[in-house]
Amino acid sequence: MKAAVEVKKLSVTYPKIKQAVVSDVSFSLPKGKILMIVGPNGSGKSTLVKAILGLVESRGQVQVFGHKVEQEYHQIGYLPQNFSFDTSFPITVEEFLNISLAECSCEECLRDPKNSIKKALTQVGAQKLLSSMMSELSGGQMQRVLLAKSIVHSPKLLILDEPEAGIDHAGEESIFSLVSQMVKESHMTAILVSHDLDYVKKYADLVLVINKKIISYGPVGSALSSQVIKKIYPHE
Amino acid sequence: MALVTSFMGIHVVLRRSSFYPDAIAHASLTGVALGLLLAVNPLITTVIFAVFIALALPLFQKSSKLPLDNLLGSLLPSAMALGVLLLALMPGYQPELISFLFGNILTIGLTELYWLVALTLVVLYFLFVFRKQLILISINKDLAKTSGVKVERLEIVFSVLLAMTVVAALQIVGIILVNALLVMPATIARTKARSLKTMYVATPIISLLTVFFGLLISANYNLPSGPAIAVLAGVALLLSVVLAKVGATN
Repeated sequence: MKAAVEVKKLSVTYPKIKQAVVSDVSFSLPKGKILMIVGPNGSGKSTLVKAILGLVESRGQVQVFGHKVEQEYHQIGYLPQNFSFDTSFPITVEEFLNISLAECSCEECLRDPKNSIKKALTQVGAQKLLSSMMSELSGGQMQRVLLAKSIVHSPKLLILDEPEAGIDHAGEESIFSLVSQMVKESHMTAILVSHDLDYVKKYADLVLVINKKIISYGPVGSALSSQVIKKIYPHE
Repeated sequence: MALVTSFMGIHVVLRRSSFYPDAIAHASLTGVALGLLLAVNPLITTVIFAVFIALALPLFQKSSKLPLDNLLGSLLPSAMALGVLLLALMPGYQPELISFLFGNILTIGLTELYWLVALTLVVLYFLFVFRKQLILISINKDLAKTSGVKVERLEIVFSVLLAMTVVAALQIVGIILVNALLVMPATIARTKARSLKTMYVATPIISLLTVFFGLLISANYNLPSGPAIAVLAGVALLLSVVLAKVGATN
């Protein structure tokens, strides 16, 4: 069986600092699993995610469902970290989700985009926001709408960079639980970046601990041992 | 023309690139000067030079890593100054130069009119077919790219068409006032719009009204058309900002 994501010797070096922010990362993520990436601040978690998605220049190889990532964008739902929205941009939530379907190839979205939008918003508990202006959303509401954007086209791979950011504790739990449910029910695969080790232990099938290089990778029990936790968070 | 600049202007405004067309317009003076110097139709050299600048700017920005506003601020005086230097090489009065500086709708010939109609159709077709993709790029390029939008390819086509639209608008309102047609109608619409739909409906209406009444004032009072349109758009913008503020307070 082909892996959902296959990463080989992936490195990212920003020209100005000339030091690798991600170095020699290799892993294979089987289909239908939730991988959570953890590491201290500045460890390269978001850069790794961007490199997997082809959003930053990198060395090494990335394959998604056996193909180059650019060929599989229609199968991917991505939620970026720290998404900033121009507050004077005149667009409603419905319009935003609708334009997100511009290159969509999913049959359901093409047949009835309005229904797909409503379904995605309901899934993330944001159905009341349909007619709201994007610029008037709170941080938590924005995060839910972005999550709806990442699932509206029924992707097979979810890549969520700190999906819990800006959301209250009860909301955090519901987001991880939703992702877990979708992975089980819709045979999705998910890569999530998170700081919260409790959620990682509860929801991850696999964990990748990174501090520029891979510290450990594997099932939660072995990859997130107390020794590893001490190594990456020495002051906690 | 008001229709095409208004729809193009929506994307210019939403990308926060209001100075982009202005910089291309100013740089176009070099194209005008080259045409006059080489005794070629200035329209041809201006289009070529404007497209060259529009394509070179993003490449230069990528390799220099400088912010776009820094580059535009530097390009604007240097490219315009080059045009002035080239014009200084030619003796005597240059009527085409005044026309390009301030624009005059009444000097547009039949050939230029056909060119404008063709450009209008191409730009409107492009903006209609790729409207969703262009809006998504304006919101966030990473989000657009991972949604499957061919960001780089669309940006190149958009830049070329924007440069050509700028040159076309130059003939009507001139280098100094090109933003009046490209940026002001969309900016006026943005002060009140609460959705993209409203923005798409209001912008061309505002643009057509501004041009119509600007021309009317120009004809009645024997004033140059470009400045009449731009001043009228300025007054409308001021009113819309004041009205939006009053509306928000009530």
